[in-house]
Amino acid sequence: MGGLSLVAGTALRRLLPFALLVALWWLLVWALGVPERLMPSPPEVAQRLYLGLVADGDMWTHVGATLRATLLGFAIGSLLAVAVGSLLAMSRTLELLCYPAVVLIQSVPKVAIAPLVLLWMGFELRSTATLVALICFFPVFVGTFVGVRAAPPVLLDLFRTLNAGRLRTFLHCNLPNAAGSILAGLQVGWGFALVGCVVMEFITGTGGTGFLIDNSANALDTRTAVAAMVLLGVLGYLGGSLLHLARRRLIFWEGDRHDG
Amino acid sequence: MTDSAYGAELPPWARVVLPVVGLALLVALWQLLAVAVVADSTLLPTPLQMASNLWNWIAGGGFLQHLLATLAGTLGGLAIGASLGFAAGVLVGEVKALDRSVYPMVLALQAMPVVAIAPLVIVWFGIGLASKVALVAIGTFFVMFVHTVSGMHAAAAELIDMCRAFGGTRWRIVFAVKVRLALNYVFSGLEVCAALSFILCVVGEFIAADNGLGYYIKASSSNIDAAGMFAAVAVLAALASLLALVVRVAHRRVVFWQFRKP
Repeated sequence: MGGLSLVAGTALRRLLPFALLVALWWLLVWALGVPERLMPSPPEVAQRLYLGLVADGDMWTHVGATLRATLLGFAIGSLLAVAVGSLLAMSRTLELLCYPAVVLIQSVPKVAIAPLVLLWMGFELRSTATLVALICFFPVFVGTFVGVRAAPPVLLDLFRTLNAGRLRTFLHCNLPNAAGSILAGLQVGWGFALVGCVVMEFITGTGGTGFLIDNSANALDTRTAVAAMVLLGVLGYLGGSLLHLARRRLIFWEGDRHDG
Repeated sequence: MTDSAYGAELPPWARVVLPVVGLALLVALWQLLAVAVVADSTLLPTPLQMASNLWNWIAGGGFLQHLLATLAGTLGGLAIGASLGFAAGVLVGEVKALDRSVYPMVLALQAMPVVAIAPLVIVWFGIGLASKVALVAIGTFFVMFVHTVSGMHAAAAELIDMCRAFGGTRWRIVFAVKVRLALNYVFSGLEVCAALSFILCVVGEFIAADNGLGYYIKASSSNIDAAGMFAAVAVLAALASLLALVVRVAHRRVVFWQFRKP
């Protein structure tokens, strides 16, 4: 009984900001008399969402396309980033050798090379996933590198005293120590990944929520455009929450120390 | 000496020589890819082709127009968005009722990637400078706002108490203590904004524009002209790095106490 009301209370506290946001949006549209072709009101968007997700179901293909490309690119980019970040962190020679490449990757605005990626990879899933992988690489790489290097010197000395090799030291000391930092990088990376996906969908114009937003805004169908944005926000929120939960479960010993 | 945990001790010259070798390897790899693997300069130009193409573009006409359009959209939007975000952040961070209601709302809003509103902003402001400025301003506003509010939260209670004990009024405390201590967060926010501003401006130019570097990249893409895209991306990377550097130097100058060696 007490537990149930606790759960309900937490859910309410989570949902309250969203409810306030919708109320404020409704109030502004109503009070300023904004026409629908500029900004639809919440009930209009809710109606479009009902049509797109339940009655007609025409939005599922777009959400599916976005989710597929983002997840694929995110998985590839993050795995590469953890691997490369660990390698460079464990070897000073490699770190110095790859330094120019890292600077290059960091300084180029990844979104700007979207048309180039499209030219190389062709339409649809391949180019979108590639851009997503490129864009979420860097935050995960930095998280991994910093986390692996941040292993406590005392522990490293202990491992050396026990005659542990470099691989074993990495697997049992550096990597577990880096877990929190890697997951923090993944949280940032997930937000970036959605940005990459949406931008590529703007450009390719073949499907996905980004395409839906651009295409319906061009037709002054802002109802559909805003509904698609809401769905994108839900994807962003769900991904972020899942990663947050994973962080709390996996790295239970750190608690909520890094949150904020 | 835990340094040796990450490989053998390196001699001092390695810190200079290894990155240079790495750079040479990178260029060589690119050259190899361009000549032997792709072998099509419309898809992947060699480093030399790219450099000469960039030079011709800058020396010839047409470059300045795109550069100025992107700079105006980015810097104009950044100035408006960041200053409004800072002002709103100070106000919301100080007034408890606003802090309780508005701050969680903005955090909730941040789940949506801000580039997604680009097509809507173009519907609102039309094609041209106004929509670019508006898009950059909206994106940077929220980032700056969140950083400023969390900075206002971080002010040390002892300092506030001390200021109050010396008879400081509410807004005196805000500007003499809280805002000053929030500056470190504000400048971190500005660093994020600087990176974000170019991205937003370029995305706006991808979708609908008649000039700017993003427009040029997309036009080159339609002409299957990778050299043109490389040139514009290189210019963008240089601009973004320069802006990031300026912000970082300002950060160190203004918030000098955070960077003082212990």
